[in-house]
Amino acid sequence: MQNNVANTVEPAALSEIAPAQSEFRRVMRVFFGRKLAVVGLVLIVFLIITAIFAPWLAPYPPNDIDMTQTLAKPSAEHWLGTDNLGRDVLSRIIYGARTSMIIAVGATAMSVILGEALGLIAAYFGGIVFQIIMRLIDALMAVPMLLIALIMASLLGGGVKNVILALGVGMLSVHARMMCAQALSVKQNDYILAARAMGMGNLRMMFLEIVPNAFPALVVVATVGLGAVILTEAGLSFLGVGVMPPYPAWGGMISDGYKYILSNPALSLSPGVAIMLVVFGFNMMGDGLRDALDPRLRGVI
Amino acid sequence: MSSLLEVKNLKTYFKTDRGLVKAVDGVSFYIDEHEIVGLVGESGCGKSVTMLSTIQLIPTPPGIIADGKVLFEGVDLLQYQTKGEEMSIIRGGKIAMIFQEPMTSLNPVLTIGRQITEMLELHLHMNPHPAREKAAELLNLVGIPDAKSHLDDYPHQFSGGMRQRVMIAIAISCDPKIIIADEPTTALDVTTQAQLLELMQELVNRLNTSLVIVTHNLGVVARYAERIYVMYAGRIVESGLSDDIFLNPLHPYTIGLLKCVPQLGETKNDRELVPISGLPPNLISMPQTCAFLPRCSYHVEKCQSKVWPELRAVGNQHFVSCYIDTRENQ
Amino acid sequence: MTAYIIRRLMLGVIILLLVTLLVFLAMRLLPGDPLIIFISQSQTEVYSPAQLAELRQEYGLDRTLPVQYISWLGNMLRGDMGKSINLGQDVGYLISKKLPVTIYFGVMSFIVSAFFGIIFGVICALRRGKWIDSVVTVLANIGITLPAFWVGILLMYLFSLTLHWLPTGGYVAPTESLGQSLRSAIMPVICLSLFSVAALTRQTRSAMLEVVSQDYIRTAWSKGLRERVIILRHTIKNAMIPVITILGLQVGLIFGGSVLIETVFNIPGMGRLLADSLFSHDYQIVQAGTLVIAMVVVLSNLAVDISYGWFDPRIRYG
Repeated sequence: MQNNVANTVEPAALSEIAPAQSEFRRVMRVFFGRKLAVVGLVLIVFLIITAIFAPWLAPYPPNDIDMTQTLAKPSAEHWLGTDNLGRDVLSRIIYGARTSMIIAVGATAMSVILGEALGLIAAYFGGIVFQIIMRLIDALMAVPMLLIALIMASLLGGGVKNVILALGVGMLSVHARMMCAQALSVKQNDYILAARAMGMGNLRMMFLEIVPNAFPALVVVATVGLGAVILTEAGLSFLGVGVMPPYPAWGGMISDGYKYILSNPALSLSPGVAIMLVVFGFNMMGDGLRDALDPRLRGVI
Repeated sequence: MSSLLEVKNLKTYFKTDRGLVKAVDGVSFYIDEHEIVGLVGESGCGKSVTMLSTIQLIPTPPGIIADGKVLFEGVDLLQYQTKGEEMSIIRGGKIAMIFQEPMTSLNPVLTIGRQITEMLELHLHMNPHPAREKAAELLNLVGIPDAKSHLDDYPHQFSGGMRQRVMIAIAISCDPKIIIADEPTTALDVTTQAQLLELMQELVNRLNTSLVIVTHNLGVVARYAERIYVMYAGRIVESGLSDDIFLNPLHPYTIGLLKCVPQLGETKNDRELVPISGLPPNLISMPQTCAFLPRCSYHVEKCQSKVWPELRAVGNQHFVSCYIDTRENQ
Repeated sequence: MTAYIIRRLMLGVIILLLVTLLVFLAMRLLPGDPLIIFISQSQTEVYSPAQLAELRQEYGLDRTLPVQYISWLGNMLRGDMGKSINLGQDVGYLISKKLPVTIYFGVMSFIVSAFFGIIFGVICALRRGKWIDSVVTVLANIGITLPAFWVGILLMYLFSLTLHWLPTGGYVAPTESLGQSLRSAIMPVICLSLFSVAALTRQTRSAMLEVVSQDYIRTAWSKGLRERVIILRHTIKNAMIPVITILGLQVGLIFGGSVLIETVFNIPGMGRLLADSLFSHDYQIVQAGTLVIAMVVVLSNLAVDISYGWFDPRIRYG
């Protein structure tokens, strides 16, 4: 005799259904599960706070010259000593955080917007447009990023705006390539054909379908890119292109301190440590985001 | 007479974030020489894990073979080191395996010929040149035309069906005693499925090996297997001769499986297809009672209070793990 | 395979042409009189307008942009790269002296990076989770954050100025004295390869782990193959496919890095030449130098692409 089906489904069976978890919470859970990613996040938060609250955190104004205290070694008064003009090194490092953040965010934003746009256009329209854009990107990539940035920054003159422009152009190609690849793989999907058949316009299609799919890769590359921009900017200011003195930039501080390394090694060494910590923070965050958003990117990015 | 392969009380567990998954929880079966045996069950019932465990192909960071014996020709394989010399001789040489996904089971950067000859060189100690000859022969045997010219081709140049034939060629290359086919045709289209199953049966007869077909597809085992084991939630719930299982199923799960398979010649007026209600079990928090209980339409008082029933004999080589006799409840 | 190579070669040529276009246009981006591409700023202030007009004609600045581009390109192809504004010397000559130096350090760094990066990555993957994996992975994660020029300064401080074990840099040709040459090359090469070793270690480890989890590796085990064979014959070759891509990227990075490292260690190479030229507004050198570097990068990318075809038969027999 068959029992009624409804009666035989015990409550236990219902608990076997996996609970619906929102995507956001899952991402958060994976990200915070990785210790290194959290460390990275902490470092970056620290950086942001330092940059914003520099005037309150720095013990001395960064550009205060004091010729009686030049090249002092680290002491209770000056934790990292002073530079050749008597300026407090620690304060300059703290203010340098501002420079780094502004340039990093600015350049990354620019390269993301321009790069992603180019990649999207190339992939979407295909054909000759794709060829032209991709070959131009290849040409850009044939010149080392530092060199591109260096040439542009020198030609345009120094200063924050030009450095942002120069670095933005330098990083463009990575984003363009990546967005193009993502867009191409989405484009092949059948639902794009379906959307077209329904008469969905080009622009809408791009934003509604392609961009959200590329989002995880974009976030990861941008985060790691922030670190790359900071490293490159350090190189630029080391060479003397970049933010105009007297504004403190970590790379510039290393270059200044280079000559006086035997007098006060902290002058040259501490900005490097600062750079390392910041880049490390961005890289670890990037790794964590990648694992949380799309672990399939593991081998790729 | 002892069997070729005798598995006793095999238990394979997986440690996961959410708990211990008891994928195989006390499975015993045997395979004799020259026979075709089917291991049937839905996805997740532990059938693949069972067979992978016999030759220690379970990844051991999350997985662990917690208990049991795997007696091959009288010797317990589980006592051997996973990566050791002895297992290396057994795998491929005595017990060979064919996997489900032909698209990803072959190495993309090695030629087909190489993937066959490395077996021959290893187990049969052949030299490269005779190995190539033999490889071409094997490809012919599995129905790949113009074999010699294909030896230097790469897997991506073949279709799914052809790749599976290559896998079969690799499996039979060293005359193993047992071939384990894990869902060998699931990833292929129906026509190719039929061709490959015919091929496997023919080869098994010709080479006098035993074949274990692991599948969720009853149609496959009905035609080719002599004996069948039905698995559910990591255990065997029914076993017997193929005819007995199909004509006289006794476990509610087996009955349920057969009820939802349409038969050729039936119309929808003859019989309703009845799916098995409920969902597959969560292997982490298994109750002590019968695992099929939540979905069983035959259950009685006894089922809710006693532990999972042992297999009991109900006929010639026919065993069932159930407290009631379902024939009475028709 | 040959078709593949030819296609990549032609692509390389197109890319180089585009680079020439970009460089040409970039120079025209300069604020001010385009004449300063050819003569120094100070001279433009000294000459009379009539003389300047004459000079403009001489350098073809009165012609349209496309025509200027073609003629400039034509010169380049004939080997005439112009004259250094400040040094008076033939640019081609200068480059021929400096480029080999940079390539010397670059090749050494590339080999060091590839060798150590790949080996460390393989070891980490094979010993996953063990202490050596943890240590090397942490080091690699730190390695990609290090500003190379800063490490240079650090090393110099330590090994030259304090311990006096190594010279502070400079360049000694290997033909002059191999021992001296290598001694002075140790620190620069370390700095140039640091990032690449770290990046390659990470990438190789990641690729190996990815491959090891593939179905075909399980098939290899089921065939009874021994672990060593599986790693060497089945795993590594597959893992190298994505690693080659990253390896290719290192060429550009090493060239970029040489601009900084040559400055720190006072090495007379292309990097230093370019940096100095940018600052002294010696644009003839900048143009030609950038092109030469781009050419080397494109050629090495081509080599990488071709080897890609060797590793991955799916590319060869598409």
